[in-house]
Amino acid sequence: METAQEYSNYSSSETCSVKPLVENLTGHLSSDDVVTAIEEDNLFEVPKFAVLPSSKELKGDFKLLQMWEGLVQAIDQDHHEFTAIVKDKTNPTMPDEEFTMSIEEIPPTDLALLASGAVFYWSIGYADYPGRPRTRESRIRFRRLPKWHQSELNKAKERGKQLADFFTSY
Amino acid sequence: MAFDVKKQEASLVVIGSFNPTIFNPDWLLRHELISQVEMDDVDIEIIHRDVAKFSLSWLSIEVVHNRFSARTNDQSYFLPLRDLVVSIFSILNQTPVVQIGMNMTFDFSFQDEALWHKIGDTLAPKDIWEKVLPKRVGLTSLKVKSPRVDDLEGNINIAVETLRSEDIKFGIRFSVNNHIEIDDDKTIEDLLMNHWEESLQQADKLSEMIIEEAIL
Repeated sequence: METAQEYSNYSSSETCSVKPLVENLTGHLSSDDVVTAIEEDNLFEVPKFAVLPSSKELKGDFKLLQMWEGLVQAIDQDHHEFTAIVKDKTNPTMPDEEFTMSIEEIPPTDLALLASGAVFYWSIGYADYPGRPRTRESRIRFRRLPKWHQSELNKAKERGKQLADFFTSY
Repeated sequence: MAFDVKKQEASLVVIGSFNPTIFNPDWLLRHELISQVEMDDVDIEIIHRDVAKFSLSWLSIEVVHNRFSARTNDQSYFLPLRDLVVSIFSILNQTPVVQIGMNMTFDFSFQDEALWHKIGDTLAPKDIWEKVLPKRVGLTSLKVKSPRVDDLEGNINIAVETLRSEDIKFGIRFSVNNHIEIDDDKTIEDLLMNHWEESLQQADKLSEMIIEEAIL
């Protein structure tokens, strides 16, 4: 088992109510299901599109070796690096670690998400994709959350002001 | 190890009332839930008022009027998959939802044919079948369900199927469905943030335990 800091030393190779019509539709359905058999579910009205054949297979495979969830603590633009606290998601008994990583490790599409308090996932594993040999990859992906709307920000500010007024009134 | 995992797939299924046309890659990009690079790689099968089906390199989404599903077979995206679904339903927070399923599928491969048969024979004993069917009887699929042990309403559903393909000569597919009925006081966001990782770990543990018990 390697620690996050040990891994960091690697250079990465790169409004109406609804009722369910049938019981328990949340399992994934296989296109291989035998549709001619009488099954319990067939006693109920099956929604027209509930039993879609599964989409085509997603290409390739990534065999995960280790994964951490990181929380960005500080960004040092001068040295082009950032500090984060990481939790080992593969082995949760391992203690959290603080480590420093080069900003270069972040994919360009996620650079805009780098900020203090941002959450990211760092995965190390073997990537097997058609037409290329197996590669060991280090992947970083920042958590993408919905943007705050101005109305939500205004509401939060107003609530903050109310609380501040309440606490300063005593 | 007598067996190994060839493939894993995680999926999230939500039952409710949806407008499939909303669920399109442009909408995800507009809300910054996917990146432009991911958008460039999108493969749209259909976006229609009755059904939406598209995939990115790591993700496949299907939506019909009463069912939303998102899945990935890339283990590095099992947590981003949850984040994406949480984000979608926090934006669409007025959408009525009634059930959620947190699903994991494991494809196990066995080197030893006898061991592979032993699992089928142990999970579904053949004594009765062999009295009424003259030739060899083999298990093709088996489903069991059990109520959840936590305070949520729902079941753990497990399906076991035999699997034979080019890559897997003697295989077994385990599908674990962690099914929850959504109460009025629960949101998808809360359920997923509190139960998704636990659900993945539970599915992993359950499937391995079943195989290990069966081959003892």
